[in-house]
Amino acid sequence: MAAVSSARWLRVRRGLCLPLTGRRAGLCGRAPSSRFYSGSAAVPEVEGADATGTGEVVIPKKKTWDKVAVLQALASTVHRDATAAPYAFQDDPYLIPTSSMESHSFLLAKKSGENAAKFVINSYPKYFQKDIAEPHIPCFMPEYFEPQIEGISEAALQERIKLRKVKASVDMFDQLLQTGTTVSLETANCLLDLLCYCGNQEPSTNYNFQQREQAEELEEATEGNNEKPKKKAGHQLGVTWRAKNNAERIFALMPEKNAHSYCTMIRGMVKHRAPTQALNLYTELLNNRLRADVHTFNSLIEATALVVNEKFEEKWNNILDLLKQMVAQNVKPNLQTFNTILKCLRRFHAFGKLPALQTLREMKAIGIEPSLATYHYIIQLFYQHESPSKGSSLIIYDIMNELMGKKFSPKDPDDDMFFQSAMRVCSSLRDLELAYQVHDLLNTGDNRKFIGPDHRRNFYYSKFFGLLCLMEQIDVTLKWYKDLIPSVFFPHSQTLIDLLQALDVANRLELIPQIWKDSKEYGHTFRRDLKEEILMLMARDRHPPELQVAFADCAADIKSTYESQDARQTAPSWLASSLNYIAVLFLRAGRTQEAWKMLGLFRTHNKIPRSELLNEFMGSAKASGSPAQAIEIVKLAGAFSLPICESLTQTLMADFTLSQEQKEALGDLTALTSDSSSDSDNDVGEGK
Amino acid sequence: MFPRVSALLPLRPLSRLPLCSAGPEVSAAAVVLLASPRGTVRSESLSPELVAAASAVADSLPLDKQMTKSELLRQLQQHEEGSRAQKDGARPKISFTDIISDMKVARSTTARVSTRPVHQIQFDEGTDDFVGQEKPADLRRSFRKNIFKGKRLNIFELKAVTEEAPETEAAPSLWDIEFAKKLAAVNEQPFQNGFEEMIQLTKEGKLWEFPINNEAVVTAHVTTAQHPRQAAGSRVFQPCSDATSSTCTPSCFDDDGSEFHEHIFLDKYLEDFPKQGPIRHFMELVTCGLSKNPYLSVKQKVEHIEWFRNYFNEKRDILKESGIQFN
Repeated sequence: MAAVSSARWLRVRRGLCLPLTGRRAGLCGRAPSSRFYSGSAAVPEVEGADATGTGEVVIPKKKTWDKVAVLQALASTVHRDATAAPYAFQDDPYLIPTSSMESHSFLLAKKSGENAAKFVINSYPKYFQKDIAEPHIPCFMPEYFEPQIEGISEAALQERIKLRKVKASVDMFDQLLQTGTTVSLETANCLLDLLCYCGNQEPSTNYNFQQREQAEELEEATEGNNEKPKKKAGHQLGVTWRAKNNAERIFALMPEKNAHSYCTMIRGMVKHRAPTQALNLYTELLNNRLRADVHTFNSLIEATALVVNEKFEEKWNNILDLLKQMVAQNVKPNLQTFNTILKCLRRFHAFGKLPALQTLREMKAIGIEPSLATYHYIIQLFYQHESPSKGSSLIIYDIMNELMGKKFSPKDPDDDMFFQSAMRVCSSLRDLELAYQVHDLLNTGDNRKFIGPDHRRNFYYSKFFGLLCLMEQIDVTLKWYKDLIPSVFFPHSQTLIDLLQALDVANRLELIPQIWKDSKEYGHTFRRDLKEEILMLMARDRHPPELQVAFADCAADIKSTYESQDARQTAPSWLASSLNYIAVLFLRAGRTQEAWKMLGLFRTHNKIPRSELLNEFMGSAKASGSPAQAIEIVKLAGAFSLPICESLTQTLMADFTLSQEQKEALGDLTALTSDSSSDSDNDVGEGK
Repeated sequence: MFPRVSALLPLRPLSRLPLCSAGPEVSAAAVVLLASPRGTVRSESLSPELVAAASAVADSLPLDKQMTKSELLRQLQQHEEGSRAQKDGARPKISFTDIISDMKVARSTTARVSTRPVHQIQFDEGTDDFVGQEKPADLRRSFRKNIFKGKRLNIFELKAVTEEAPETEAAPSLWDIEFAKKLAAVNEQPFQNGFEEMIQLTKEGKLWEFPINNEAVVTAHVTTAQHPRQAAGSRVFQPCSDATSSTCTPSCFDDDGSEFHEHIFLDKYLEDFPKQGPIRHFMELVTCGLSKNPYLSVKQKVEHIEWFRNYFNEKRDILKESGIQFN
C-alpha cells in the first residue's frame, strides 16, 4: 500500500517537474523533465502551467551538463587576489616564493615530487595493489610499461609499439621477418610511425616541463636569426637523422608500401633535419603515383626552407611549386600549412615580408581563420629588430584592430608566443595605447591562458610595466604596481629601476624607502645597480627633515646589506659612489657619528671621497664647532692627495680657531702636501 | 629634424594635431606640398577640416594665398586619390616609404603621383608623422585594407577547399596523438584558484563529479566490467554476482545498470497473487524484505518472487483445504 501511494506521489512530482534538491531531481533518470541546474527560465513556466490546473504539462527538454560545469561556474566567480601570492604557490607559508627563480624551483620541486612518486609506484607495482577507492580510480594504480605478450607474433609487435619501446619493436620485427611471417601493412606503418617520430631513439621518459624547456631554448636560439645548428646533447630535439638507420632499413624491407609509409618517412626526416632526403623521398612517392597528405606537404614546405645554400627567391619558388602540387593532387591545405610557410618566411628577413602578406591574404581568402601563431610570425617578420628602424611598419595596429574582442582556442602549438611578441613591439614603439589594447585582448574571455609559460609571462609583464613606468602617469603606474606585483609576476631589478626613474620624473621620491623594502622582499637585496640607483636618487637633493630621516634609515639598511655581502664574499662590494651617497645621507639626517664611521670605511676600502662630500663634512664640522673633526677631514684629503685639500685648509684656517698643536699638526700636513703642489708657498707661509 | 623628433616623442597616430598649430611642421609641409606636380582639383571629396587647414596654412605662409591654397588642396586631393587607388588596386606593400618609392611603376590612376621628385623621400619621416597626425583614420583605413586586401598567392580556390571530400578518417596515428598533446599543452597554466584544481582532478577521474550522483559507482562498475583492462596483473575489480564473494568490496552492485526504483518498487511482480489474505500479506513482507536487500540483483529478486509463485501454485491443494483463496 505504502509503496503504491509513494509511487503515485513520485509520478506526480515528476510530472510537476518541481526542482527538488538538485541531486534527487537529477536522479529521476527516465523522466526527461529533470534538471541539474535550477533557476532557469523554463521552470516557472511549468509551475504556472500546473498551478492553473490545466491537464497539459509541457515537459521541457532535458539539458545535459558537462561533468565540470558546476565547478566551472564556481571558478568563474573567483578573481585574482592582488594581495596574495598566486594560488599555485600557496602551500607552507615559509616556502612561498618571492622571486622568479624561487617560483621556478618551487614548481619544479612540486612536479618532481609527483614524478618521483609515480616512478616508485611504477617500479614496485606489487606493493600498490590495494584499491579501496569507490569508484575505481585508474590513475592511482600502477601502470604497466613492460610488454606482457611473450613470443614472436604480430600481436607482440603491436603491443611493443603501443608501449613505445623502440628497440624492442625493431627486434621483434626483425625476428618476425626471420621466421618468415609477413607483417601486415598496418603494423609496419605503425612501426614506421614510431621510429620516425622518435628518430630511432628511445623516447625519453622525462616529463613534459623539461622537454618544453629544452624545446623553447632551442627555438629561441634559432629565433635569434642564427642559422648554425645547435647541438643539444641527447634529447629528441638534438637527434639528427642518420642515413641507413632502422627506419630506412625497415622501409626498404617492407614488401609493400602505401602512401602512409612514404608520408611518415618524410615527416620523420624533416623532423630530424634531413631535408634533402625528405625531398628525394617525395619524388619517389610521386614516381609511385601515390598521394601525399596535408601533413606531409607541411613537412615538405619546412624541408624546402631548411635546405642550405639556396637563395631566398629559389626557396620561395619551391614553396609555391609545392603549393601548386597540392592543388593538383587535390589536397586541402589547413592552418598548419600556412603557419609553416610563415614560419619559414621568418628566416628570409626582408625578402619575406611581401610573401608573408600574400600568404595571409590567401589564408583569409580560402576561409581559414588565422590563429595567434600566424600573427606572431608576421609580427616577428616585420619587427625583427629591437629598435624601430626607419619606416617601421604600422602592421601591428592593423593586427590589433583585427583581433580586438576575439576569443581564441588553441590551434597551433606556437599560439602562446603571440602576446610576448606583441608586447615587445609595443615596448619598442613606445606606444601605451597599443599596449593597453594588447592587455585587453589578453583579458578577454579565456585568452589569458595563451600567455605561455613562466618566463614568457614574466617577459610580457616586465615589458608592459616598463612601458607604463615610461609613459603613464605615476598614480596609474603605482596602481598597476600594486595590482601586478607580486600576484602576477615577480619584478626583475631592471623593472624596479624603471619604476624608480618614473618616481624621479614625477617627483615622488618619498616612496623610495617603500620600494627598497619591496626590493628586499623580491630577492634583490644584493643587486648592486638597484642599490646604486636608490642611493643616488635619495642623495641627489636636499629634502625636508622627515624625509631625510627616512632616507637615512633606508641608507643604513642598504649599508648593512653591503656589509653582510662583504662578510660572505672575498671581493669587495662597495663602490665609491655608494659610500659617498650613504655618508651624505647620514650627514643630512644628522647622524654624524655614523657619517664619520663612513669616512673610515673610505680608507679601508681604498675609495676616494668626492669633493662635495668633503665640503659637506666641513660644513657639518663647522656646525658642530669641532676643529678636530675639521682637521681630520683635511688629513683625509691630504692622504688621498686630493686637489681640494688646499681649499679645505683655507676654510679651516678661516672658520676655525685652532690651538697651537693643531696649527703645528696642520702645518706639517700642509708642508707634506705643499711639496707636491705648485702654489704652496702662501699656504706654508700662512700655516706657520 | 623630423627623424629625431619622431624617435623622442611617441608616435601617436591617434592624436589629431591641427595643421596650423605647429609652425615648423607647417612650413616644411607646405614646402613638401608645393614641390609636387599639378593635377586636377576636386575639392568636394576632401573633408572640410582639411580644406580649412589648407587655407590656414596658406594664410600663414608669406606666399600668394590663393595659389598656395589651391596647390595644397590639389596635393591633398592627389594623396586622397592615391590612397584610394591603393585601397582598390594591387598594393601589397603597406609601409608609407614603400608606397612612395614604388610609385615609379606606371599605373593609370597613380600616374600623377608617380612623378613626385626623388627628394621627397627625405621628408618621408616627416610626412609620415605629419600625415599620420593629420589624417590618422584615413591612413589607418587605407593600411588596414592593405594588410588583408591586396595581392594574394592565387593558388588555392575557395570552393576547392571548402567542399568536403569524404575522407575516411583512419585511426589517429602517433603523429596526430602527439600533435594533440602539444596543442593541449599550449593552454596550460598553473591553477588560479582551488576550483580549477578541482576541475583538473575531476578530469583525471580522482574527484567525484558535481552534483554528486549517488549511483556513479554503479555505472562505473558497469562500464569497467565490460571492458577489462588489457594489462594482465592489474585487474582489481572482480565482477561479483555472488554476495558471498570475499575478495570484493563489501557492497556489491548490479551488473545490469538497473535503477534504484527497480529494486524498491516490486509491487508490479505481485499482480498474480491474490489481492487479500495471508498470501498477500506474506508476499508484501517478502517484497519489503527484498527491497531492503542490497546484495541481490533485480533479476534475483524477481526470481525469488517467481519461486514463491511456483511454490504456492504447487501447494494449491493444501491451500484449498485450509480455505485460502488463490487465484
